[in-house]
Parts: sequence; C-alpha cells; structure tokens
Amino acid sequence: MTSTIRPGSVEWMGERLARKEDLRLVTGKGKYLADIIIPGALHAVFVRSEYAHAKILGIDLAEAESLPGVIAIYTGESIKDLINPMPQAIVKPNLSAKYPTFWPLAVGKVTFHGEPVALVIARDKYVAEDASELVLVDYEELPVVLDPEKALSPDSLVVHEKDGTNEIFSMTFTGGETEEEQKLNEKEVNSIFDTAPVVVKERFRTHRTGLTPMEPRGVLCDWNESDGLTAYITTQRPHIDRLALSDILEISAERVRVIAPRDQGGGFGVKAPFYRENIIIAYAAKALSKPVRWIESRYESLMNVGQERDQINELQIAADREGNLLGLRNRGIADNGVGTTGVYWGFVMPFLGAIELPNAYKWPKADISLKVATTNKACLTPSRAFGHFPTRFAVERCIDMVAHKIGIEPSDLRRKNLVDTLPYTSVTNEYYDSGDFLKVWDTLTAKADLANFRKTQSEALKENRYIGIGFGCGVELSGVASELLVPMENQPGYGAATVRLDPRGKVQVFGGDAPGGQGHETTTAQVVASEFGIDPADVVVTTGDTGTTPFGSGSIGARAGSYFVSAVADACRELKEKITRILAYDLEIEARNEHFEFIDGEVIYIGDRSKKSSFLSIVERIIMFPINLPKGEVGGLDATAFFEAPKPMICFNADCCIVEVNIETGDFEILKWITTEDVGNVINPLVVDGQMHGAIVQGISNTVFEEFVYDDQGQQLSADFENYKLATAADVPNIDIHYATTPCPHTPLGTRGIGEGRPSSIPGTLTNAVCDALAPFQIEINELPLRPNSIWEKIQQAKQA
Amino acid sequence: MYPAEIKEYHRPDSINQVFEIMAHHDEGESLLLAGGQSSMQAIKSRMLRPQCIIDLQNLQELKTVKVESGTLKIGAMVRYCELAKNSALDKNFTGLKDAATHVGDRQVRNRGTIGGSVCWNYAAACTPTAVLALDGRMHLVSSKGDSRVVKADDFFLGPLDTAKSESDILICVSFEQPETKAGSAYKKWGLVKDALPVVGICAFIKLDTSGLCCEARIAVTGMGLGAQRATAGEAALLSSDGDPKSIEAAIDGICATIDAPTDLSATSDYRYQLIRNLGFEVIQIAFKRASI
Amino acid sequence: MQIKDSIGIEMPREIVFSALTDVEILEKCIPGCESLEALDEMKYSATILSKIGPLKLRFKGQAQLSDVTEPESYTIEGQGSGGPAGRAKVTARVTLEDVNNSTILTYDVNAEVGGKLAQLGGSLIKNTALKLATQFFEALNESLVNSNRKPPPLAVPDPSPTLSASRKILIAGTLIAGAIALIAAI
Repeated sequence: MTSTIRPGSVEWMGERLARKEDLRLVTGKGKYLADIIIPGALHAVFVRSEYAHAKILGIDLAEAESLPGVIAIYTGESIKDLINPMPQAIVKPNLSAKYPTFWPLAVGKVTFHGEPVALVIARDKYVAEDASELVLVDYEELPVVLDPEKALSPDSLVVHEKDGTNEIFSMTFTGGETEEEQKLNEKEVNSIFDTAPVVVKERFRTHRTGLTPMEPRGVLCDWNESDGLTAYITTQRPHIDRLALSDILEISAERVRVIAPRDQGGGFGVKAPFYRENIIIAYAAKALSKPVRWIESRYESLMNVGQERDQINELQIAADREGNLLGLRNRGIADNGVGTTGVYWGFVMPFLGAIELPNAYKWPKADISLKVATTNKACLTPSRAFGHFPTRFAVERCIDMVAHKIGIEPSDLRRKNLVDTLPYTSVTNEYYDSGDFLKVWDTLTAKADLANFRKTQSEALKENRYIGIGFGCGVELSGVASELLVPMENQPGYGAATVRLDPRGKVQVFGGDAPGGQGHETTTAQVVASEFGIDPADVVVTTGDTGTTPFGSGSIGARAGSYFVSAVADACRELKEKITRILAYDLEIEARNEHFEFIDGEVIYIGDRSKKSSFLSIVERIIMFPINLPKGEVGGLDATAFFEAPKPMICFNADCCIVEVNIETGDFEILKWITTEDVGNVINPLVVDGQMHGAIVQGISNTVFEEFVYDDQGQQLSADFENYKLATAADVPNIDIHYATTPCPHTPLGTRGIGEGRPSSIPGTLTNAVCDALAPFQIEINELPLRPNSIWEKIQQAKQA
Repeated sequence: MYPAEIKEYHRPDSINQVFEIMAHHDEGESLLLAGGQSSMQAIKSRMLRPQCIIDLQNLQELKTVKVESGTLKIGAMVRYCELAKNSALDKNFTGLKDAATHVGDRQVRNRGTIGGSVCWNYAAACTPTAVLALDGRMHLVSSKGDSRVVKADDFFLGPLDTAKSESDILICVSFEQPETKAGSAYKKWGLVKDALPVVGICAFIKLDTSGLCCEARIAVTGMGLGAQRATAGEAALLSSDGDPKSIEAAIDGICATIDAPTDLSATSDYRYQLIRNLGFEVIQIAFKRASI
Repeated sequence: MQIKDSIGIEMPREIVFSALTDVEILEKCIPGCESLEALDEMKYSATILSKIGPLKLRFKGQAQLSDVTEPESYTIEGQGSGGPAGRAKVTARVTLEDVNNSTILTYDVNAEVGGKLAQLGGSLIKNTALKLATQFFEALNESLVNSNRKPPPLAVPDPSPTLSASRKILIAGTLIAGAIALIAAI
C-alpha cells in the first residue's frame, strides 16, 4: 500500500540504477513480437525476388495454392487495384525528390534481389514455407544498375522508368536557397581554394554497412468489424505507422491501432521506416478476417534492411599554414538502392549526412552538394549515425591529411578550429544550441597525453613496432526539432508524455515512442521518482501503443533523453503544482510550489518541516476524496505535456584511440579507446555508458568487419552471419569513458538526448590511428572497410615505391 | 527459415539401432546428427532435406577418448570443448587441441564434435586440417556390417566431400602415438576472432633420436578446397632441426604448389602472405613442442 | 565465374565429337543425369541431380547451340533452375583440337549463379563444377575406350547430309555441351 522508500537515497538523477528491464530480458521473460499469441493466427511467408532486375512475365500459383493448409496467396497483380500504392503523404518527406510508385508486392518487375513478389498465407509456418517454394515466377532478366556514379550518367538504364532518371534526390546545402546564390557561393569557395596555401583533395569511400538488430522484424495483424485493425509491429514509430496504414488501406484512423511490443531486440533505425510488409500483412488480415503473423528470418533481414552508409565523398579542405581552416568543398554521391521504403526513401540519410558534414569545426565558407543514385540493391535503411557515418569519416580523415601536409598535430589542428562559442549555426544551417566543445576536447587530450605517446611511439619504432594514435569528434543531434523534422520527414519533433498518478501513490507514464532496449523504462522511472520523491519501482512506463499513448514521432534521433523525458518532467511539474496548491490549502498556509520539497515519499513545507503530508495521502486525497478543495480546483492527477525546445539541440563527443599495427599481416589491435562526452545531465550513468559502449562497438564493427556485398549481377552475397561478419566481444577493446558535462539550458532536466549519432566519429578516429602508426610509410587510407588485407597491400605498395 | 518436412526423429541408444533405423529409409534419406552446428543450419535453410534424423547424442560408445596399445582413439561424438581440455592430446597432438580450442565460439565448442566436423569437411575448417596433418584415421562401420579404416589422406576428398558413404557411421578418429618425439601446432587467420579460417595451417613434426626431423606433415585450409596436404613443403624440413632457413624453404614449397584464391574474404596475395606468416610460426612451434 | 580446362582423350576428334553427340552415351556419362529430352529441334531439356557433398540439388535445364564448326567447335548456352536453391546460367565454348589422332578438348565456361547458390560461395561452386566436369570426361573417356569403337576410315564426309540429321547431331551435341556447362556451373 505504501511506496517503498529507500532511506536516504533520494537523488535518482545520476543514480547508477540497475535497469528494471534487465531481469526479464536476461531470464527469457521478455515479451517480443514473436511471443504475442493470437489464437487462430495464420502464418505468412514472402516469396522474394531471386533477381536484381527482371520483368515478371507471370506467376503460377496452381501448385502452391493446392497445398493443403494454404489459405491465400497474394501477388502484385492481385492487390494493385485494391491497395493504394506508395508514395503516401504521411510517409513522404517535404523534400523535392523522385518518389517511385510501388506496392507492397512487386508489380510488373522486380528491382532488387529480395524484393517481395508474393505472399503466402497458410495455417502454419511450415506449410507457408513449403508453399512459397512452389510459387513459380517467370522472370525475364534485365540488365542491372549497380554503380551509383554510372547510374547517374545520362545513358544509364533507368530503374524506375516513370521517374526518367536514377537521380532520386540532389541538393546543394550551402550558399542559400536560390540557384543564383549557390552559384555565387561556389565561385567564392573556388577562389578560396585557388588561393589557399594548403589544399587537400581526396575521394573517400564508405562501403555498404549498417545495423543488424538482434531481433529481426515482424508484423502481427488482427482485424474484426467492431475494433477495426490492431497491428503489432516491430517498430520505432507506432503513431506514424498507424496513420500510414489508415491512409493506405483506407481504414478510418480511429479504427486502427498500432502496438509496438513492450520489448524489442534493438531498433537502431532499422525499425523506423514504414515497410511494405506492414501494409500487405494488415491487408491480408482484413481480407481474410483472420489474424496474420509474419516473423522475418535473419536471411530476409540481411537481404532487405540494415543497409546504409554506401557513399562516395569527394572532399576538399583549404587551410592556411598555421592550420586555420579556410574552406570546405564536398561532392557527395550516395548509392540509395531502389529507394522504395516509406518515410526515408533511402535518400534522407545522405541528406542529413551532408548537413552534418561540417561537424564541430568553424568553416568560413563551404560548398557542399549531394547526388543520390538509384541502383538495383535493397533500399538504404536508417542506421545509427544516420547518414553521417561516411561524411564524418571523410572530414575526420581529411583533417588529419591537412595536418600532415602542414606538419602539425591533427589534434592541435582540431582544437584550433573547434567551434568555441555556442549557440552556433553551421555553414549548412544546422543549429548547435549549447555545449562547450573545448572543455570536452581538453578533457580528452589530457587523458590521451599525446606528448607522452609520441615518446612511446618513437621508442616502439626503434623496436620495429608500429603504434599510432587517432582523434575524432562528433556533433550529434539531441532529438530532432520540429524545425528540422517537419521539412525532413513531414512529422513533428515534440516530445509528449502523459503522467498519471493513482490513489496508491503509484505513477503510470505513457509515451508514444517505442524503445528498442535503450532502458527508457528505467530512466523515465528515475526522472519521475526524482520529481515526486518516490521510488523508481513505483513507476510503470507504457510505450508504443497508439491506443493509450500521446502522439510521438518515434524513438529516433535520440529523442528520449532530449524530448521525451523533458515532457515527462514538465508533466510531473504540472502535477506537483496542483498537489502543492491543494496541500497548502489543506495545511492552511500561504505557500507556493517552490516552498515545498518532494522527498522520501513526503511532501514537506520548507518553512516549517512539521507541516507535510505523505505523498500517498495527498495524492489519494486529490483523486479519491476531492471535497473541500480550493475554489476552482477539481480532483484528479493526470497531466499530458508536450515539449519542444526553442531551437534544435545537440550533444558532443570526442574520441581518441591507440592502435598497434602488425606490418607483416596488416592486422591491428586497438590498445586503448578513450572517449569524452557531453551528454548534458546524466539520468543513469549505467544506461549512458551502455549507449557509448554499444555505439563505439557498432562503429568499430561497421568500420572493420561488416560489409554488404553485391556481385556484378546484383546478387546479394552477405545474407548470413558467416559472410556478414559482426565484431564479437573478443574483437573490441575496453572503452574508457569520461564525462565533461555542460547541462543543456533548454531542457527542464538539463539532459541531452544521446546515442543515435554516436558511431559516426569511430571510422575516422580508428583509421587516423592506423595511418598514424603507418606514418613511416606515409600511408593515407581513404576507403572503408578498414581491413588487414588492404592495410597490408598499402604497406607493400609503399615499400615498393 | 523453417525446415522441409522431417518425417521421423530418433534418438537411438546403440549403433545397431542406428542401422536398424537407416534400413527403413533409402540411402541418403536419413541424417546422422552429431553436434548439429553445421547440419542444423543446412536443414533450416533447406539445403539439406532429411526425411529422418537420427540423433546420436545417446551413443555413449562414441564419446570416449582412450589410448589403446599406442593408438589414441577419439570417439566421433567427442565435443570440441572436451578436446580443448583433454591432456591425452598434449604430447604429440596439440595441433588438434589448438584447432578445437578456437572453433567458432563457446556455444559452438560446447556442442560441435570432431566426428561431425570431419564428416562435413567444410570448405574452410580447422579440425579436418589438424586431423589431416596429424595423420588421423577414420574408423567407419557400414550398415552391412563391414568396418574399414580410412587414412586422412584418402578420407578428405574436397569441400563437403569425404570417403564416408551414406551407409557408414564414423565411430572414432584415431592417431598413432609416434615412437619418437613429435609435436604439432595449428594457427589460423580470420577477420573476426575465432572465425572460419581464411587461412589455417597445421604442422606435425617427428624428430629422430638426434633431434632432426624425420617426418613432416603439413595441411592447410582456407583455399576453398577443404583440408589439403602441402606435401611440397614437407620435404624441405626433413633432416633439419627447424632452423629458419629450412622453414622458409618449406613455406616456399607450400606457396609454390598450393593455389590460393581471391574471394570476398581475402586476395590471393594476402593468403600467401598469411601462409608465410602463420606457416612459419606453426612449424616453429611444432618443432619446439617436439623437442620437449 | 570463369572456368577453363582442357582434357585429353585418346581418340580422334571426329569420334569424340560423335560421342559428344550420342545421346545414349551422354545420358550415361553426365553425373546425375536423370533425363534428356528434345523440346524442339534447337532446344533440349535435361534434369540433373547434382551432389555437392551432402547437398543434393535437382536442376532442370535447357540448352541451345550456336556458332558451330563441326568437328572443331561450338558455343552452347544453358540455363538451369534448382528451384528454391537458385539457378545457373552458362555460356561455354567447346573446342576440339586434333593432336596425333588424339583430341584435346578445351571448354571455356562463363557461368553466373543466382539465388541461394550465389550465396554458397564461389570456391565451393567452382570446385564442384570442376569435379563434375572431370567425372564426366573420365566417364566419357572410359566409355569410348571400353566400347568397340574403332577410328573411322579416313573417308570424305557426306557433303550433303540431310538437314535434320546433322541438326540432330548438333542439337544433341548442344544439349550435351549445355549440360556439361550446366554441371560446370553447378
């Protein structure tokens, strides 16, 4: 009946609290999509294209349909007049681009290896898969478009004929809105480069890699006439999915409910798009009036989603001999794959990547442009470090090259040019609201002790050992403000939370964004516990159910620590105001909200600490016994708050790593990884450390191990973990994390959202360290993945030269 | 991915029972399940479609490690993790221990077996390579009742291809204890720790009474052909004491005769470099272990 | 993927060519061949059960001939589908060189594999292809040696064979070479 009080431990903000989620997750009691049972559910298996590009001449379903247990089979032809095609406004950015028309199943032709061609619905998953093998698709092969640069040439075969071009999107990000302004800017930048004492030009290539959540996708849909459609989806954005399903299937929105399961095995952006599978499974459930269930296999997942990065950046930096940066020019080319995925269409990632190219440095002038090419590969899906993993790699590497050319330490060149006064607006109009980059940087360099390292390094060289140090940094989004999200994705950026107190003094929090394991249940509970002076155990968080939560654009762009918890705090404070108003009235004192303390399960008047109430009694009194209230007051304790910061917000991190390279084999070992972070005020260091560890490990894994490979026929060759290699715990170093905090002045708790963009500084930092180790050979590596094989080859080439 | 229909599953208690079950199915329709670390993948992806699975987990007679009159006999169902800590391998057959200790990961090592590994003979695998270098003998019993022993040189025919027929069961893998001092070692290179070998190399060195090499066997893997003997390298080691020059000559011989391909994992040149690098270490360690 | 190999057969090339066009011999020699049939004059189909170790894949294929110079050379194109396991497409150039009444047969194959086969790994596929091709030619060689075939007398070839007869030979040869190429790709 009473709140459990932890005596003396009232400051939940900053507490290294073990996560509430973890016991159930590590003991097999998590409830994921695949654990949700609806009796009578049918099982769905997709037939997917075996070709990268081919006409569908016909599909023979006779044998498949006649298999006992098969209920229905859909093809593009059978549904194209019954389901509205994409694009749909709700999942289309406000950006000028080509938006190819497509249905959830291929119509007329297939455009990538793995594209859904037919959907088999059967009484169980085994029959469904048996039947899927019996579906005979007659293909006529077409030539494939695989190279993004060739795809952009005017004589290339066009993948989406109606669009007339493979250039799905292009933009110039600097100079202004009009073409005239941009041309003028280009001229000015040209003249900077023409006269600059130091110019470095290089072509940087980042391969196709991305994120592989431990849990692949799934959809479970249930339809009945009275409730309409209930869709369980492994999604980061249930509220958006709901609107999309409503529009596309023409089911009135009040009869569509999307529920993201309480537990998801990772999202990392991969579960943020609105996918074809959502549409066709929901359609099938409605058409058959039976629940339909689809669980993605790992094979399907690797074939269809998680592919990102894949950019060429022709980057140029101009500087003076003292190391001041004078200008930046970039021509970016992104390999988008087919582009047919809702919300992001693949190109929104490189779009943001170009915006974030300037990173944390002051550039007097820049000329940045991007072209995104359609090819016969799976569409890019968002992956942590959304779009800017390749551009960060390019900038961080190029800065090192500039430093080498001038003959100064790369870390000194960085420090010289770091933005030193915030707020700051970058050359691409990105707003950096607050923070102290120099403080973070100096904290890092103090730990790195470069001078000492250089001594160690030259000693090691005498013993024929090659060690190196590399630096990098990253300005990352802390949530995505409406100012950016409305043009970028046609969606609002505010955070929203409902906080509901009950007569037992417990708190329920409702949030519309669906987490993928970041620990939102715990951090939210800590915030609420801190506000009300209760225990996090008394706080229950419900997320991701459109039927019960306020609107949220999704768990994207580090929204939780920036926008969501801010809304939670605001809602708590609104309720605290009401509680203290009524308590003051009950205690017959003249007091305002700031005269009360919520601590240890009590609400205490600071002026006379004998005047107080237990949290439980005052809450119960307001909800259950709302008589003798102050004039104008009514009972109940329930508040919904919406939080929007006045301007977009950021967080900042800096990395340093030390490696040793074996020049006989090109193998390298990361000896040390140090990082300093400004994540604003920290709610739970355990959670934040976990975010940092995860991001750095994913960054290393992307940089070195993971690669999606397509052969010259567009066949995807990395559809299992034997070929798509993930780093194991044995492959990554211990990570030394330090915090150099500047509380965010724009959020109620001073917190920043963190973790989404974090992997972006990894490829540059690591590659810089390897190049530093190989400095005696004057090797500059500008292509990823960073592998022993290619390092060794570069050493051989250098030896021969 | 869900398997194609499997009509029967059995977990017999004796080899005779295994044959009884096999007799009810056409040749090749039943699958003998050892550790399942390779076959389960193939079944789930439907590359294999067994009608009947005969699970060997209860066959105690296949799980022993013993030394019988100078022969080390390792039961086909002995798991990698057991090999990794079994002292019977310590004197001469450490190369097999090296291999077993680093297959895949902990979970794989807890389930995978030596028998399953040699019978699968994957295109790139550690255990068959060690067994080949160590001159292992495969003891087979057929459903017709006849038994035969096949030397490793004759057993490993190519990737996924061995001399074991579909009516055979592998009982054990045996190794003759050398009369003289001997030592062995295995090393591999993969991109990720303990990954499938991009290059794997095992050396087995026997020394005569004056400490000079009287027999050398070298096997490599990672060239896409499963485990291969590198006989061209072996001759250079004879009568040497493992001096660097002889080892270099041996490596030269290997590189001259083994065909290293370029594929997604590595270039041909890099494979040769790895053969040089790992091969040198492995032969050196084998000599060292032999001399103790 | 490219596969090029040569094999020596101790028979004059006219005999080899003729054997290569003998449907009965070929059905016996192609490893795993379950059936051969003519769809029409230029196209043939075959069903072949291929073994890659424990993996058994049944391929249904078709082959088509072009660019024929009897008894020296021809080009064949074949396609085969292994159902859910994937597919193979093959173009091969087969040349027979006469060396002292023996034949050097060279096949130069360009193969593309797709679907799950492509994901199995090039080395495995290439190795299997070479193995099957070797098996085929060894079987062919043995079949020729064991048969009672004698080298034909050095007669002038019939200047005007009936169109259908020569075409039949060529088609059979096509089919065979196509099947070989298909196997080579498998």
